[in-house]
Amino acid sequence: MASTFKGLNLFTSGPHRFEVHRQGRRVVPLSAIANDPSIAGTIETGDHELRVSVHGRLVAESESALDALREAITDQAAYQVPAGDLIDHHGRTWQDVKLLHVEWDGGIDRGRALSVGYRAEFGITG
Amino acid sequence: MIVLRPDRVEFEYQVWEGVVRVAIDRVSTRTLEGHDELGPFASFVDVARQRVLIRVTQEIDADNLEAPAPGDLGQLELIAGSGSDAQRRRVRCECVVESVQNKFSDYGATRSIVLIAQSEAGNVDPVEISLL
Repeated sequence: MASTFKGLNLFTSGPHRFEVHRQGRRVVPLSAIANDPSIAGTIETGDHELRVSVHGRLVAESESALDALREAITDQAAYQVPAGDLIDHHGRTWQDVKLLHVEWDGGIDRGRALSVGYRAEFGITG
Repeated sequence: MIVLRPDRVEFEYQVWEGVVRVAIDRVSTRTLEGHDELGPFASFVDVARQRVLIRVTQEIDADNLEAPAPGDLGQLELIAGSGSDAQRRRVRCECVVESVQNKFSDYGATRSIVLIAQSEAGNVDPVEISLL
């Protein structure tokens, strides 16, 4: 099945993979909280926030088509754009996540097709 | 592409004598391979950059002090024939000399010249083949 974010096929023009980042307790050094390197020990401050990244390559036949694919992603990463469900190829769903940011992997490659690599990070904030 | 014993080879309007073969190789210098999560095989492969490499081999049977030098830019033109005018082809490309190497053996001397073709706009095949 095709992956989607909020029902949009943002990534299906090319290959892409999902990656779930660090999960579990968030342990912080006391020295960092107190800003004092002489203090030993750590403290648990809750759980890590969910972070899921999608990395892959957008593929298009023309410059304008590739621009449209890029804009569709960056539009979702803008401030105050609401959260939604992210669904991977196998139907695995992460609910109410936001597209936090996207990074482009270098410039546009121009071979048989036009393509550009990306890494988009999703997560829950607040 | 291989041309054996071309009828004529010129580089920047200077004839190269004794050419016994010209090989034009194309290799990727940037291959893109993308995988999805449905299996082990690449679901997208593309070549975003490629190099066109031309190797000219000359048999040298006399003193020769006029070899091209790495970095020389010029038009390489060769006529590939079949012994008659039928099917004769002209191969042209603008290219840069990358290396010039001479080898000696008991049977004689050969010179191997490697050139890299360049395309003015980058989106047109630099090797142009036409029927004569």
